[in-house]
Amino acid sequence: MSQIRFLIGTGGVGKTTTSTIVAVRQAQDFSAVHLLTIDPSMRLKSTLGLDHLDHHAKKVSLGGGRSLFAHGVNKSSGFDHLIGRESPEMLAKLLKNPIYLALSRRMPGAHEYAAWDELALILERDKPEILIVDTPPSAHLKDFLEAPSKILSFWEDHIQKYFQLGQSSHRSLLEKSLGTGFRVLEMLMGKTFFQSVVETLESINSIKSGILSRLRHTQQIVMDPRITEAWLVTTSEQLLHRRSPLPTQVEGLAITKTIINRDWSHFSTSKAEYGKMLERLNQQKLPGKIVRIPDQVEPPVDLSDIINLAKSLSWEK
Amino acid sequence: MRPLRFLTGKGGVGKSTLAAFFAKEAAKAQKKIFVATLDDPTVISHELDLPFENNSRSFSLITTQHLTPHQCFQEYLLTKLKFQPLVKLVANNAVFQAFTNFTPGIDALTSTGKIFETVRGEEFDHVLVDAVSTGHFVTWLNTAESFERLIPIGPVHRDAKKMRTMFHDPDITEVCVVTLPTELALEEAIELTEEIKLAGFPLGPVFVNGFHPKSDSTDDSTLEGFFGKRREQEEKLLSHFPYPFERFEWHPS
Repeated sequence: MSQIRFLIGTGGVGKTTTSTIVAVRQAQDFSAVHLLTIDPSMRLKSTLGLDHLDHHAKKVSLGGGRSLFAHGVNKSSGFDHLIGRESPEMLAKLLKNPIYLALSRRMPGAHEYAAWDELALILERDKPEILIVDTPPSAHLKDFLEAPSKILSFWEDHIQKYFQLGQSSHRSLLEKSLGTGFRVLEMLMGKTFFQSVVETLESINSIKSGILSRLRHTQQIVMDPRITEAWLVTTSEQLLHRRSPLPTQVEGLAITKTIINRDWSHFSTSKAEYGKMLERLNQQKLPGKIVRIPDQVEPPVDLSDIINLAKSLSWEK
Repeated sequence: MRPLRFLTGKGGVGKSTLAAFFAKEAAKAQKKIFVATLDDPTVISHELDLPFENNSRSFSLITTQHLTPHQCFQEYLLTKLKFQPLVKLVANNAVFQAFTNFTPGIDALTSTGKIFETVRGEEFDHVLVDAVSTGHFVTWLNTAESFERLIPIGPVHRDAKKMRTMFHDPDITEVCVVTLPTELALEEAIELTEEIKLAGFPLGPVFVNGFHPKSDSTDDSTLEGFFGKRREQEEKLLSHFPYPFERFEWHPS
């Protein structure tokens, strides 16, 4: 059974670099370590020295017979894969539908749905021993973790029953259930647009069971605390500015490690002001096991720097 | 500061801290300012020492609001339906909520719509928006244009067109990228700036936040020596930066 580790934390703490260091460290103990980045900026590839990163596993050789596999979420086509795997004909049809194109590409939210599909695909196809997930910054982590529930509840609680009734026209059924809301939506969006949205939903609805069961399955696996742990990434600088204690769990997942990137605990100082600062850092209570990545004048730039840094980490399994 | 300033940049670069700083500066200059955040309002609320709630609240020159999709949507409906009980009735319909929840972009349309209405109302000298982070910002600000193209007629089409015009007007709007003085962050700031330029939004100055304090010590086993070296690296990096920028220094407090 695959083990999943979500690396969480706000932006600016070097989450992508940290994820890479951690994945390289894990590759010393496991033979099938996979790394997935869901950050739209796809920063991972420059660190790994790859010029291209998509949903296919890219093998990165780490020397000494060790390697890891890197994946990225392709923003523009993630949603298409989801539908294309259920029905290539449907996908071909939808790719000509401007509403679908807008829904799946231009609008916020589509990216999270695609990321979940990617996660399912990697678990199913690549069967990693360990999957390290470099999540988007925390404001979007919530969107990310909620995305499957949002789709599931939408279909199960609302739309499903209207489409299931069958005989009468969809328009009148939607009209009834939306009440005044139907006319408001129609007024705001115009009849054509509103009908197109309904039609798009109808098309997707016809192939929904495969997509939904996959989403439900992924969500069940991923949100299982026996399989999935959250590792918090932070920095000494960020810990200094914190005003509240660090969380011990996120969306029901226990935080089992705190990884301090750009850690300052190895520095001495002769300035009283900085002495107090270091002391304050040492007194902080942090969730889980602590891993420190020392801050250096020359930060890691390429894969060999990352490998050296990963080897020097004090790391409890 | 132009009448409408958006702050964007990767999470954790200090958008909220800078937003609070600009709000205080505006108030000092006797300007009326509306400060909106789409982010978690904890940081900005702490820095300004003012609450950010779902409804707008005024504190002499500064007005604050945490823009949530549900509230923005209700406010938007009210401008269209002009009758509060009807808005409540429609907005609380479960199917309606589910439908608008699923139609991607409605959240973004109503939050950018709220900003548009606030600028258009001319009640404030400045509207300052602590906006969404890199990777989502251009999509977010472009929502009006997407809807304008998708919906050929009707009130949403007309509003979307006016919004698009305002957000592209350099006499009204400026988009300011906030970043850190590190190689990776500056590269991303350049990518984001190019993306904003390509989408045709007017650019304001880039704000580079978190410069380390200067130091005379050169011993980099000490924290002060390390900070000093970092500062030198930061200045060197910025000497190649292609856009006008302003420096903000980090304080060890």
